[in-house]
Amino acid sequence: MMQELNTAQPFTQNGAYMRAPDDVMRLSQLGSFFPTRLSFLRLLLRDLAEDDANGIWTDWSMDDAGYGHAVYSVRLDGYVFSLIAHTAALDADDRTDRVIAEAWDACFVLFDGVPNANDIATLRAPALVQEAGRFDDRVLVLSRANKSVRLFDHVVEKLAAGEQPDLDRVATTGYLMRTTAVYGNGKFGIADRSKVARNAGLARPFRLEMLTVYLIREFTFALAEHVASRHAGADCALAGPIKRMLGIGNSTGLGMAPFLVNHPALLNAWVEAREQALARVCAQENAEVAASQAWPDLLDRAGHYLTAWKIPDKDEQERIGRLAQAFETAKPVFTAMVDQPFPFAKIIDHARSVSVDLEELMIALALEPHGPLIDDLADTMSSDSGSILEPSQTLAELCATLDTHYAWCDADVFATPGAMTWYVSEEKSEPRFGVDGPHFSPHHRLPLDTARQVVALRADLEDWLNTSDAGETVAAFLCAHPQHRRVIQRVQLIATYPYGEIRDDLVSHRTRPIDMLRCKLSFFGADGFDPKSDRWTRVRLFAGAPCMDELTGDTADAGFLFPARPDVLAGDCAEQTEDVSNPVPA
Amino acid sequence: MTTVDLSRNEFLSTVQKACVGAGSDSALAADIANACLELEAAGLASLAHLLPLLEAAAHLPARMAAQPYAHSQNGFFTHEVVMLRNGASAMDHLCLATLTVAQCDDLVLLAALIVSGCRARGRFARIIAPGIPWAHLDHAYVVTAPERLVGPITVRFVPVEDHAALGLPPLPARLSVGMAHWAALKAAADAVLVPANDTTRLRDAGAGLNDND
Repeated sequence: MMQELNTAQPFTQNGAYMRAPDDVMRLSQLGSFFPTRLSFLRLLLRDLAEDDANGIWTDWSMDDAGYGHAVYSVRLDGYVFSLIAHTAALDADDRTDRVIAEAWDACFVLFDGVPNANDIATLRAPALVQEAGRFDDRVLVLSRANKSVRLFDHVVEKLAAGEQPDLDRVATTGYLMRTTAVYGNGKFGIADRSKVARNAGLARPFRLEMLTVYLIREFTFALAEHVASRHAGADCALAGPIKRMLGIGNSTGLGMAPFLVNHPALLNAWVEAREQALARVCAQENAEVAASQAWPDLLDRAGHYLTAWKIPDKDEQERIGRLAQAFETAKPVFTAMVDQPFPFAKIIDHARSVSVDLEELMIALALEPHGPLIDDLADTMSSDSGSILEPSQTLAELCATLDTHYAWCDADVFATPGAMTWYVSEEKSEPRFGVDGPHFSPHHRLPLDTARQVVALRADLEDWLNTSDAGETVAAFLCAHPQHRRVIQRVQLIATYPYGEIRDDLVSHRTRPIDMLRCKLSFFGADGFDPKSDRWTRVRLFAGAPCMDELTGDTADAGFLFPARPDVLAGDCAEQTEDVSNPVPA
Repeated sequence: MTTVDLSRNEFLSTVQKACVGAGSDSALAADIANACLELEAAGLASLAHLLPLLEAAAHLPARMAAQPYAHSQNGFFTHEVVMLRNGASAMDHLCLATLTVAQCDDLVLLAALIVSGCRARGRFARIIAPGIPWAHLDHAYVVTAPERLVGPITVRFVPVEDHAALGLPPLPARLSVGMAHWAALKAAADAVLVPANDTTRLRDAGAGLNDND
């Protein structure tokens, strides 16, 4: 695929340093996002560090092969949460990341408080069957994971032999387990978000889902060390630098794509916070000393990261290669610009003139050294705003909003139905994206064809206004055209939340759902983007992150963005192999 | 009666899917789901009201979405399951005028639609109807309605400053729903699902088949 050139005007010329929704909310732009220091897992680690959180294994009941259960408890935002992990042997034939799987290497629930023996026992059966189980609101998150068998076995074998794992193998895979689903917000009877969001910290987006994944990561280290120790007959510990390089893998499909369309106020909160952060950074006339000092190291890290980012997909690998090449070419310019007036505005503008991918890469880098300037924006990234139709709005006001925010809905382009449609498969109710046709009934199609709905609305509005006054209300119009109720509701919402609409065709044969996935995953903080198709990807979460026992205000952010390869840290590994902290009970 | 314990989100999303499966658009389906939650808050079995309407809709050739829509100066005249759409429009009109619905299949659910719409908007409606299936009159909250009632029902918008003072019960965080009703609702919700096969798994989900690494 060709790398998309950015044709938008340099945003430093508009004086406000704020990119317009028409520029940002394109699939090509969203599909180039990188994680930033405002990503949710970064926010979690900062809050854990601030809380001086320290997890403890309150139960560790594993046999020599690592099958059994364990409970890991941690305090966050004033509450105690516990990860209950159940593991069982799994045939290779049954190991699939697809959501239709029915067995996994490990199953997890995040429990509200510390479970007693009865809680653990009663939750075991439903946890093992995941979607087929029923839960109550003591369960806050439900998840499962499969091993990277080759790396897990390699790590165990090496540790049991008194050695550390091969760094290349660690770098290539990047995780000991990968989650294949993380469910929250009331699914299968677990607690609703309204229960979870007890205070501002817990109300942060996907807060407990991120915590669950972080605790699963701790569990994977403990499990590998446990099995190796049982094999060796002595305590075995994975070196700290290797632990930090290992994240949790995640296989993600289309399930998260419609979320972005169905939660426009929340999407707006995420993107607007990011854009506000960028605007603040770019408005700096001179680089702060700390940012200026950190800049060369950040550029080096990004260069290393791009070079090490190898994935099997040919087209995506070529795209990464183009980005790496563009970055290396521009790196001297970025190095010099940091000492010039309005350094980051110039850096972003220069990157923008090269490619969308380079622009988004440099945004992540530009935000990184500016914590004191932008971290407060994390408080604006939650939104529980719903969508309520305002019937007293005049048609003139509605038309003005359409002109402002939906000019991209070209009637010539969107007059005909889309070639594709989004629907929900009977297999675990998962969204899918397929060629549209008569085999779909109207109630099968998810209403993600916003552009076409807007075009149809505009056509009926024009007819209506030929014979009626623009001062008439939306309610009056809807009496004659009730089919437009949903889209009018949405248009009204977008007038307030302009970054809440993906301004692109979501039902075209050219639509790449993977762009929506990458956008959402970047807000989670995922890296190692490794698409397996344009509908499904693997990523890593928490790669490069400090472990629980290392978390302090200083370490929570250190070296996190674009983590360096373990071979860069090889010297450190040898020094730290004796470092065993928070050991698993024997 | 055996019941099932549900999260609020689970209840709302399943009602929405069932309504979409019966032909409703997604915005109306969301309104109906909130109306059902309003009924549950009042201690009424919402699915006893909703399921017959969904059943009726499923047997109408044109289904809910395509039904004609009647409106005149005298109010909305509803028939069959069209009341659900009209109920939503009734909410829309609450700010504008007194509204009279001459007849509909389930005034209790219609009233719930109006009440939930008002709750979401921070406004309130005064509902006047024979038998008072669900009425808020001078803060009185009466839920002693017959199961099904034929109109007319008159709704008058009443602005209020203090929403809580009207005595609306809090929306339930958890719901206990009869197992039979829940099974019927889930079956109705399944209408939105599309059968899968190996081709669609690979092509439309885009997933691989071997994940051992």
